[in-house]
Amino acid sequence: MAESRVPRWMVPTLCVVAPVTLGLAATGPGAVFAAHAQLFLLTYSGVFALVAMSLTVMIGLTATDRSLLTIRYRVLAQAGHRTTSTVGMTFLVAHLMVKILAGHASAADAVVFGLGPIGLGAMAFDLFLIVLLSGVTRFWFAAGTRPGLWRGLHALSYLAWPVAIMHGLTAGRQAAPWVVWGYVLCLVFVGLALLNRAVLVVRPIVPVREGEPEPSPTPVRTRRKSKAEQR
Amino acid sequence: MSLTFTAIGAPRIGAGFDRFPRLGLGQHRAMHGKIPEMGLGDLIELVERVDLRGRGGAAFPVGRKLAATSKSGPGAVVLVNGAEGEPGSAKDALLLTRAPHLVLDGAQLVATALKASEIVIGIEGAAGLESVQEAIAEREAPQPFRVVPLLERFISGEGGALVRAANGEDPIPPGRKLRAAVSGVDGLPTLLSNAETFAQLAVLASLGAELYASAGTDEEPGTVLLTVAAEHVVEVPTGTPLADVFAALGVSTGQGVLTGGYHGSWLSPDAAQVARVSRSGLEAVGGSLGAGILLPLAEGVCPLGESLRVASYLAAQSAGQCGPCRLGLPEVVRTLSDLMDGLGGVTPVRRAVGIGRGRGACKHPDGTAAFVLSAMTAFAEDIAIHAEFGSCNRPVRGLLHVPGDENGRLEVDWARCAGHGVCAYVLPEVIRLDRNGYPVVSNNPLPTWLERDVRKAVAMCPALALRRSPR
Repeated sequence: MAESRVPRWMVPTLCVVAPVTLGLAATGPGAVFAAHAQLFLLTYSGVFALVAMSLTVMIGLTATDRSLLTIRYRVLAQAGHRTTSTVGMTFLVAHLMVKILAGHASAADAVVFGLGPIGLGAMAFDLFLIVLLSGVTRFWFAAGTRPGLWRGLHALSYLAWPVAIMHGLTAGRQAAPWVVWGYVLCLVFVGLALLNRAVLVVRPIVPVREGEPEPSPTPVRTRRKSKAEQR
Repeated sequence: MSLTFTAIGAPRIGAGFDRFPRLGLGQHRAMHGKIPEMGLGDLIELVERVDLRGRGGAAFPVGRKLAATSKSGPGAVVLVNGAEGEPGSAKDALLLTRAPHLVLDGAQLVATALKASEIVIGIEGAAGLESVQEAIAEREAPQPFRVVPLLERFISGEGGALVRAANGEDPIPPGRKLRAAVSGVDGLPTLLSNAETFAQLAVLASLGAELYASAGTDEEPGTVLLTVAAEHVVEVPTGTPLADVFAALGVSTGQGVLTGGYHGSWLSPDAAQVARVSRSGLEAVGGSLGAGILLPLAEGVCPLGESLRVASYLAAQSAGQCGPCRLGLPEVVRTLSDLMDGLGGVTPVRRAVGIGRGRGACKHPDGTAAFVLSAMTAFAEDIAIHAEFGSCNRPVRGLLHVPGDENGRLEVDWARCAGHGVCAYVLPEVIRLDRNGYPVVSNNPLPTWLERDVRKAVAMCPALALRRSPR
């Protein structure tokens, strides 16, 4: 018996909220509010999307780290990773929609990538879309015969994210120097963390249980096994 | 599995079963005549003269139930419990399939006496459902009948769960106890009893108290329906030696007989030889009549292993709403499993069993505790062998019938697993970490209520090493 993943209240709530919102937007004050909201999204949705996706990449990377985080915080980090990615993708879609509606870009610009400022944005969007889909379908990859394929698809985020930063820094308003430095620092740290993940593996943090002899207290770092040994 | 029917002595409920596969209205009337209509006072008096008890397991006096329902106010409902969540019971299914009119007669008798507005019948399984619907179409009744199909789950037969099913709610035991006699179906006073009880009522009304009491013991007159080895339904007068029942069926008592179903207790073969079929007769040797379930365990199999299978099934059948049951029963299974491997002891099992006792919306944890503790006593010898050698070298054949697992099992891809430990955090009911931090997945069926957590654990494994085996 598969449980429905959509909460029972969701559909009725949407059915009420959506028409009410549209109705309110048709009134005088509602129209003013809608215009403000549109301006806000035009200005900031891209920034918010980029910040949220940056957080997503960084939290996702830390979620597998066992040298610092206990199981509990790694589970929490996975939840955070999903939350920020949802927020990021939502802002990203809003960003695309308002830009297209405002005539700053065409619908094709959203997906056809290139090396110009907008082309880079489209490239980041395409890549993030693949990463998002792989994240959503993780259950099937785990159940299927090629779980390794998932790694490859999801790792595209390490390409998508720098491209998104490039787009953020080159398109639209001129970024403040501290913003640029902030992104550079993030890139460096993520790079180092990735390097750490590739070179070192950490043994499981051993849970101490009542009545059992205490295991070695600190996680021991060891060299990663060679590919041949792993098979 | 084909069901057989046998009668020791003259059959009453099973009258005509030797000639007809199913008694239609005409055949039924020919066997039992037309049941007289009775006022409430007359019915209560009749029922109390033979001290008729509910036949669902709890043996509550029917007379008191009638009085309580009528006192709770006007507009009663009659609710027939045809649920057979117990895998070891088949008598109600047989009754509803082969003699639906007898049950409906009994329900109608009560409904008329109580001036009830409706008769609701909860049924598991397609055969019974079809037969009862056909029977309802055949007859005329002053009250409307309503049939409620039930899920085939262990807890479907719990009174509160049945009332909720009849009300179109989630069919699980309610957290706050409401006596059905006070507020049951649609909030009305409800007379809820087992299908056999209604059949006995019809027989009683048709025979009269004296003739009814001509069979059986003086304390518990009449006949009783038993289900032996989950495939033989037997009608016997109370007081019949248990040995006669087994002899008549050609079934051996083997290593012991489980009485009262999977919430019941074990009888040793010696006790089974001297016991008599009645509530007091079985209690005298440490068993219980319950819903008339008798499950013999044949020689040559590991009794501990067979009991463990049942305990696993019971753990998976929890509705998952009460913490002590949800987490306590898997713990019982783990400790039993350790005991079987000769690693644990009886004390951890007793401790685990204590977790859920008296701490649930229904009696599922208590019943499971009773079953496990009884097995500890009955199979002490086998436990000693397991403790010494880690096995008794006898196979587990699944002789105690449990329905197949519907939700598959969890598998670890050991080549991928890196001991992240996330699965044990998300799914503590099923997965524990060993002392090296790697998962130990319990070999039990996955309960339905864990579906979401199972999916979550599979999706969250950082190494993609957890998956669900095909069902």
